[in-house]
Amino acid sequence: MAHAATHDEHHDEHHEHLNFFQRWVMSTNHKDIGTLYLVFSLLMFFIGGSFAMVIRAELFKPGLQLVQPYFFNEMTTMHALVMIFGAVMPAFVGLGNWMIPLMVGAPDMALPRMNNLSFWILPFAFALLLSTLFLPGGGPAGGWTMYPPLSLQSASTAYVVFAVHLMGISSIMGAINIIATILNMRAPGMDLLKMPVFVWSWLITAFLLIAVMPVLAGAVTMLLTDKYFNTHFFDAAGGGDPVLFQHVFWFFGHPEVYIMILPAFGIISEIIPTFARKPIFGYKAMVFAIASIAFLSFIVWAHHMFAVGLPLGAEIFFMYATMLIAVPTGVKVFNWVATMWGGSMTFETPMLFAVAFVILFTIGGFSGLMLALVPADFQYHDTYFVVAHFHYVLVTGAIFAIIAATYYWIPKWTGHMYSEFWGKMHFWNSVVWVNVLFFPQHFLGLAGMPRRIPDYNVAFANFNMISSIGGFLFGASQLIFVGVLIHCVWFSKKKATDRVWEGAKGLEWTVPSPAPHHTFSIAPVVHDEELAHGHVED
Amino acid sequence: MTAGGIGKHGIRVGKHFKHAIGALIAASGLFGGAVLANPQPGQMNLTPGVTTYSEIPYALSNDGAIVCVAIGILVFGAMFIAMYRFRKSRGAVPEKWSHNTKLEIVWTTIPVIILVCLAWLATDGLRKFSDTTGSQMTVKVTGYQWKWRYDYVDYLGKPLSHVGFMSKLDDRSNATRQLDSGLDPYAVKVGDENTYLLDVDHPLVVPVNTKIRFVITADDVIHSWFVPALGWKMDAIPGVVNAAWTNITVPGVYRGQCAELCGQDHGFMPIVVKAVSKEDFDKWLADQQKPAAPAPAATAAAPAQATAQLAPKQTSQG
Amino acid sequence: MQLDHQTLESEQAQRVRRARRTAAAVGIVALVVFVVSIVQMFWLQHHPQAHAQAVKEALMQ
Repeated sequence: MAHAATHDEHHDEHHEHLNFFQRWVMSTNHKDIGTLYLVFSLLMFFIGGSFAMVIRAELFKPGLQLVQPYFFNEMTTMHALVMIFGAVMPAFVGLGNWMIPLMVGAPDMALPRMNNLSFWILPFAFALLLSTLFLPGGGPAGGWTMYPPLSLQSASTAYVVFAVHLMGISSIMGAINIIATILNMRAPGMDLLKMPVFVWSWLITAFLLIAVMPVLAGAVTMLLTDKYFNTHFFDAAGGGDPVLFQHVFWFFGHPEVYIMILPAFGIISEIIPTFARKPIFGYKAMVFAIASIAFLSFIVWAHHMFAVGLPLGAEIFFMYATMLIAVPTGVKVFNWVATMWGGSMTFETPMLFAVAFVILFTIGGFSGLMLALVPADFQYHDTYFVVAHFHYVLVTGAIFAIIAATYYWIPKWTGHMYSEFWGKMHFWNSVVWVNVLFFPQHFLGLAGMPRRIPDYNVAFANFNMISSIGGFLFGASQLIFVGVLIHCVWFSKKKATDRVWEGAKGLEWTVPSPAPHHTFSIAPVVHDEELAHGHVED
Repeated sequence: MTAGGIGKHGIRVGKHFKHAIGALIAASGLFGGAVLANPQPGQMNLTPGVTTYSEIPYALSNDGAIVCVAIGILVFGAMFIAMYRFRKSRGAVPEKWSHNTKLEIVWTTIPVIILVCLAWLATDGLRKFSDTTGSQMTVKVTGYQWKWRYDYVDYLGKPLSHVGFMSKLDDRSNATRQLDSGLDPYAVKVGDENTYLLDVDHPLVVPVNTKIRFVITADDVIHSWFVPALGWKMDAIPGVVNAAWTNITVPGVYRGQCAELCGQDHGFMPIVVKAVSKEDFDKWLADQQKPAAPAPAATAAAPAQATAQLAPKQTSQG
Repeated sequence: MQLDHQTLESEQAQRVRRARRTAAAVGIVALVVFVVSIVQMFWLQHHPQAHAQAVKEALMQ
């Protein structure tokens, strides 16, 4: 296989002739577009992070010191929208763009021009969304869930709806491209059940996107017509039902949270075997677990709505379905531990983040299990317990996986090694402060502090202050990350080898570092023993 | 055994275990009694509450936490052992195996069994909560931007009318919570209790040892009626009437807040439930029923029947 | 004898052609989901009794 790949080296570096505009704005190359996605996502991560800093600063102590309550609500709303649609999702699409063709031995994505379009929609979508903050009526302040009637009181509904439509179109096109690439562009011999788990996780995620992004688009379209075109989908006075929106929204929303975590599972399933120098434990079980989680995600949406007054039968059904998700998720965690067991481990930065992911994501899973218990959820719902829960799964879950993936693959992208010392500094700071930030929020929630409030009783003061300190330091720690990236891309002198990591397996490591502009123009020959998960004989 | 001692032990074992053990201490019932039914500084667990039902979510939450901590210790324990034993620097040689069917069946089955147990407990509690029959009193709760309205519908089988009032943030909290007010939130007190943002002008007065049915709705946007000491919250949704019940066993003042984002003053529409003895409640009710009580009823301008309608926008206090 | 164009295509080109077909199919599915989600709400709004009845029958015990 290695020989097949090296042919590509001399194949044209013809992007050298392109100017900056042609190279980046008109690009149809999966690697360049992947880079664009990742850079965009990093930018959004810091914009969304700055909103979070405003939130934590206001909550530092009781009393309003910095912002008006309405602005606070704008911050919570925008923080969520920017982080979900601007940081996490584009980061995964970027990683998918970069790595999927390399992992399956395809020369590029199946539809390169559409790929360009699906990226370049995003800057406009977010320019539109963020511009609302500077408009006279202010930005959206009804929460990212946009529950009517509250969201219809906002002056910026139309902007938000249009922005969400654009993001949705971008995601759908990205998903179509990924499905078409994975199903059709694999090198001969790369059977579906030989694909890396990351590719599998993206294939399943892409199907989730296709199934639910149009539903979100439908829901926000109905919001728009309710506000401007006299329909009454969600207006009780006109015969509609505000709860209906919540059903439609969470039919999108729950699969959406798995859209943000399944590719993370894939990443962790690549990194742990590499640094344990042992094939992934239970490859088929891992793939099957991802698929069952994806399936279950469609029948658990109402667990976000236990307190809206559902009939008893519905509460029981959604509780059981939700608890069922713990089983495949548990299988994944056990399999990661079993992958480490009997390995020969080293702990470079990607592995450290992966290990932290397994532990901290599991803690988020535990609070998720507690939240599934309906009578207990009547206490937890819409308190900081929920905030702690989803930040454990999204920050120490999704974001940690994205960071781990960046450290893991950046030598392949740039041809240079990052600074291991500063990578570890980044890791230890992140992992300590993220816990200082989010763990006390469990206690706040249990004590009864509601979400999305700008000010609170003094009983909540001590944990809020601890949380805010953790927040500022976690935010600051991410500046180390930027420093490591800049150093790695432009200043690092240490050349990366083709394989980069001793235990790395899979097609992506057979191409040179940095990966040439065009790879696998001639399909590679796939040898089973070179694949990350070894032989699949069970 | 003191909490501090366990905490120290936790630090030695590892950061995550410390959290887990912290949760365990909290779960083992640090807080009990009526006085602690409201949020306390440093509170780390749910309140056991003060009603015939509120022990259920408390116990369920503790059971859930204990199960999670136990599984966490096993899984993370195995992981840390693996990370110690199978390090390359200790000369570990990677093994070749990548599956073990027996093991996989075991760790699929055991969680299922644990989940069935938890589901059984939760279903039991849920059934109890959803049974609103046999109530001796009905109170209608209506959410507005940004205050609550309480209408007493019936008591001991007798319909009540004209007993209803608006309940909004008390003036001291309201003055203190303004941006840069310069006032100290710690100074807002009722007796020894710090009531900043958790006090209202007119609390909901209810009798103890009475099964009270709440019918909950809203007038403008969605709110959520949440008092931790009662053990539940219920969304108040325009056009929808939700039902819930409580039966408070301990007299006292129980505080909560709106729990569903409802606009700029979402954080400033607290809920106060004052549970009094049946005799005191009778007296209070008689006072309320005196015709045209002038001053205190001024805020309750809207008649009780009008609250179900959706159109009128209430002006805010803020 | 007629030329079989498919056999003349390079393998890579064949894969791209199939990929376009897959993409079109998936895109149509997405569009259908979008339309159905709105039409269904529309229908529910005009048949409130049917909606309430269905919810009751499906979920009430």
